Amino acid sequence: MQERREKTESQINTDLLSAMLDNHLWFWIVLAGLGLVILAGAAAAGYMFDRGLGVTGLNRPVFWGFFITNFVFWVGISHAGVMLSAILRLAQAEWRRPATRAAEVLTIFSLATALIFPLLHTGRPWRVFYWVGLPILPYDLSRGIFQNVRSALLWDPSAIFTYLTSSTLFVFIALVPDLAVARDRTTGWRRALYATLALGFRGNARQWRLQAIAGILLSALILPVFVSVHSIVSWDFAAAVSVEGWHQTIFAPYFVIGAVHSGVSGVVTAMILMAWLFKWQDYIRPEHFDALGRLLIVVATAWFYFFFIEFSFGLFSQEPSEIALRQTQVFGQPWGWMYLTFIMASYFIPVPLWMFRRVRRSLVLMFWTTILVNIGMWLERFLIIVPSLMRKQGLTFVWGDYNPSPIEVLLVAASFAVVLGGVLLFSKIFPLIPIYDAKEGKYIEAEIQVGRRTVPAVIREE
Amino acid sequence: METTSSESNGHNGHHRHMPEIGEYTAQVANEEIRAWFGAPGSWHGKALFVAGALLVAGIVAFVIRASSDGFDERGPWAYYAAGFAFLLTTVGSAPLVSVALRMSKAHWRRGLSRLSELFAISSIFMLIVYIPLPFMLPVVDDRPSLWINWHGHAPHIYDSMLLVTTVLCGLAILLIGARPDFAALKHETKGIRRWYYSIIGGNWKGTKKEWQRLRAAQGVLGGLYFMMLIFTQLIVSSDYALALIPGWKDSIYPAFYSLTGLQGALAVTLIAMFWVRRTGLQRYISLDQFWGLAKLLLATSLLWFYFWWSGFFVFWYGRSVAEVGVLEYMIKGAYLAPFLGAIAFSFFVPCFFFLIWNPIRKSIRGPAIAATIVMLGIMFSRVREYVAAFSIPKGMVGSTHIEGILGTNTPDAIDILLLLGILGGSAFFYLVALRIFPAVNIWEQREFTLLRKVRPYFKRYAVVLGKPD
Amino acid sequence: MANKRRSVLGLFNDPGTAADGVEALQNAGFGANDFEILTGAPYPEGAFGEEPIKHRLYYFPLVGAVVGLSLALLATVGTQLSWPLVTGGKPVLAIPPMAIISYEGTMLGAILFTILGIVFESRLPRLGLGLYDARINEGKIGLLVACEPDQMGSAIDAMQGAGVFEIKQEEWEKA
Repeated sequence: MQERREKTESQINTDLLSAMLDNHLWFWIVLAGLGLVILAGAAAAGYMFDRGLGVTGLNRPVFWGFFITNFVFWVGISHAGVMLSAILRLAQAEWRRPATRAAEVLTIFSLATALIFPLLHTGRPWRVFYWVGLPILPYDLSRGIFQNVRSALLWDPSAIFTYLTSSTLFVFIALVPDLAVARDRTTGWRRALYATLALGFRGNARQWRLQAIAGILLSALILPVFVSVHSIVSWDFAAAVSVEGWHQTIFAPYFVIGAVHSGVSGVVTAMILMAWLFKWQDYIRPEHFDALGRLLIVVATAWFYFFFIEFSFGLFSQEPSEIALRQTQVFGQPWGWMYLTFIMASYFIPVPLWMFRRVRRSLVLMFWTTILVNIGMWLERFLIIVPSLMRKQGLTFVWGDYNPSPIEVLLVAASFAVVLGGVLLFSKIFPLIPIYDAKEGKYIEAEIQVGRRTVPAVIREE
Repeated sequence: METTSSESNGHNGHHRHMPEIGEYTAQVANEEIRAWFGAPGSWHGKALFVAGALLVAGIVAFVIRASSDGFDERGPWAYYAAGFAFLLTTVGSAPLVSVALRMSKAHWRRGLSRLSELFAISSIFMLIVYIPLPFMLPVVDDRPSLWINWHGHAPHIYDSMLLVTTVLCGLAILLIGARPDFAALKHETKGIRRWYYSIIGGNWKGTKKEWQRLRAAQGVLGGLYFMMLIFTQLIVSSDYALALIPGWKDSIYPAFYSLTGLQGALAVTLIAMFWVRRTGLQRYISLDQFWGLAKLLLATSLLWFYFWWSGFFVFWYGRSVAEVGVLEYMIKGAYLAPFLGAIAFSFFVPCFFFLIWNPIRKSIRGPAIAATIVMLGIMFSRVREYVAAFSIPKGMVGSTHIEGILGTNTPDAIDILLLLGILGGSAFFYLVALRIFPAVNIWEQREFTLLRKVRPYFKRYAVVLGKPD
Repeated sequence: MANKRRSVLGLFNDPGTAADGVEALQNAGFGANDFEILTGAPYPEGAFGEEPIKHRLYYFPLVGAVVGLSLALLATVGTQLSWPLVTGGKPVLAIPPMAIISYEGTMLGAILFTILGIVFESRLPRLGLGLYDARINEGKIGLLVACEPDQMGSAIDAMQGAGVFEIKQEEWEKA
């Protein structure tokens, strides 16, 4: 890459282990703050379990509101991991190196957070025990029936469980070489912990070759899972015939590309925070954001294409109920200004900005534009779910509004704290940038002389 | 002096892992590509003859069909429409391969970019085939379509405009990319060749500004072409298939059509690469190119199933009268055979028998055979969709659902000849293009020789690829 | 009767001298199975003149996929046939939803078995590191030779001739 830094292996180890091994005051302050938000969320959840779901804004006909919006949002963010890690690994893109682990870790924590919301939504989450033994234990022992395989709500846990398990194991396998470095650099209980987790990794040729193959093979296996997860989440909506705007065949790829859009934006935000907080500007450089910005332009444009089709085909059959829904979403209040905010924030503000190299290489601008994207994408999910439910049936006396309660707002805020806190805690125990990846990048960099110009090059195995 | 940061010096050892393609100079590239271009071999004449014969047969069949059935009824032209849709999915989309790979800065595109862009010439034939179709399309008043509140002839006008613009954009990409080669070639040719090389090559001298403008033009046109092609496919597939079948409200279909367009583009480029490589240019159309496209073909073939499944599944789950009618008509009933052909040859056979296996994917023959099978699958797909659409009785177009059980529009001899003529015509145009443009982009190969080196890397050889961007 | 074996670990400062060390060992008659190269990060395969590794990793996802698919089908078919309730007008054994869960089961099986395969083929987990040096992760390259006691001398000579930085030894008993 153009902006290479000359570092020895020792220096790379020191730099990338510093977040784990050194103590920074800001870390504990931020963690404490996030902890307070999480505690507040836990208190809100406890209050809700005690008093019932009536303390939320959910009521006939809007039975899905903030919780499900947030569920879909976090499943979406989780798609960044595979996008950046798997696809860029398969494409041999050098600029993936500092991004992969952060993306994978964000996947794990956002998926785990997403799973909390259906549990909260049950109102009595302890009853999940009766469902969890799929398919071993009968649901609700007094009735003795099994889970309904034909229900979309059963496909969700199977997909999310598969994705979560796969991503976690993928992170672990790729962590093993770095755990060996941590083992060699620490003492006491830390050394014992890392030595156990490193499984005795020594770095012989066989182990490295299998690491390389593992990366590619697991990437190829996880990619289909990644596509299936958000497709299945989308079918929670698309399978419903009675709700206008939901029963569309485009929902699966539309949700997936939207997930990639919000997920990659989320990773960019996380990487910028990593560069600032951990002082990793030598490893997370403007050229990485330049490449990520270009990727985001493609992804965002693909997302917009699917959005355009989804909206247009809502009007295709010219059914009055469908047209009424679209009018409500675009021109009704407060939905109209939300719709405008969503479309501007998701596409029409960030993408024209990203067309400029100077913007892509500016960490500050990339930070704010990617946050804007995720605000827009959160609103997108909200606008798919709530307006459609408000006007679900043709009988006007069951039309209703949705006003989210402070409990729901607090729980949504707590979810952000859980994810950020989780990633922060991870950074204290494991390296967030793959150490061996950074070193490998050093081994395969080269230069070519073309006239008076020295051109950066990479060494390729063939 | 060239250096590699990890180069070993003065080691006497047995070096392994010699790359298949060693280092070569710009002069070698120049001479080899020009030599092939000057005399491709007798195969070209034979292929041109066969393609031409098919084209003539197709024209004869067209005249017979036009005189016997006219253009009032869509049914007799169903297979013709499927043939056009097949062309839009394959040769009409093929320049996208070069555009997309150039955008992603993949070095390995260089051996195939010209072969892919040359399909813009075949797209001219696609436009010719398109001419009768708007006359058969009903107006959009009072029936479902994307043209809500537009005038009744909106699809006729705008579909045509989009198609023409997309083809022109593809031609522009081809011609602009060929300028430096033509400027070099014009000095070595005489007669009419020299004349049109001079027109296109112009006063090209190879100054720094000219190269910068060339790159900028390729970038801008590439982006425009990409967006226009996708949008054209969206509109054409909606108007000529989706909107004609009652109850087929399928928002994923245009995206599915675009995906099969990408799949077809990859397949047809692979086939062109395979046949050109058999007669020479192995250094430039090498394993790298086949492997690269094979991976993309695998991805698109898997996505084929994903997009199809997304559409099918929502219809199956919904079970409304309209949805059941469409499933019965297009999958279980009248068009079961082409559906099975489509799913088998677009997805199942190429993926599980060829592309999923590493040794086959990383070969020359394997991807080429898979690509041929995919082309067959695309033809079945287009037959299923467009024959089904054009066979809907006139009075039923615009209804909320399919009424009754509709029969299959099976092809007769004229339909077969029409399809063969369409295939032959597009091949004919492509073969003619191969005599006008060098099959491999000479200036891109010369550029590549500056950026690709083969160097010892301790006890092995490795390819060192420059990344100037 | 137990056999005594020696492990000799040579530390090299850079890949060039390490590659020379490998060549010297090969010239001294040590086979590919007698030594291994330890590095802190992956180098392109064959950079040190080592033989390509053989592995059977690709069988693991295939087996895992079959196992996963079988279990998923067993679960979906078994549970629905146990309590056959018609819901939503769909058949009891409705293939499209079953396909979704079977697909997830197949992929989960494939991935789990792949992970197992990676660990197994890497010859992990390993109790104890054996003869090892933490400086390998700091940029040194290790050349570890396992040999009979009477071959130790030629191993050390070969590495010293190639410019080794430091040599460590360990004796152990082969069971």
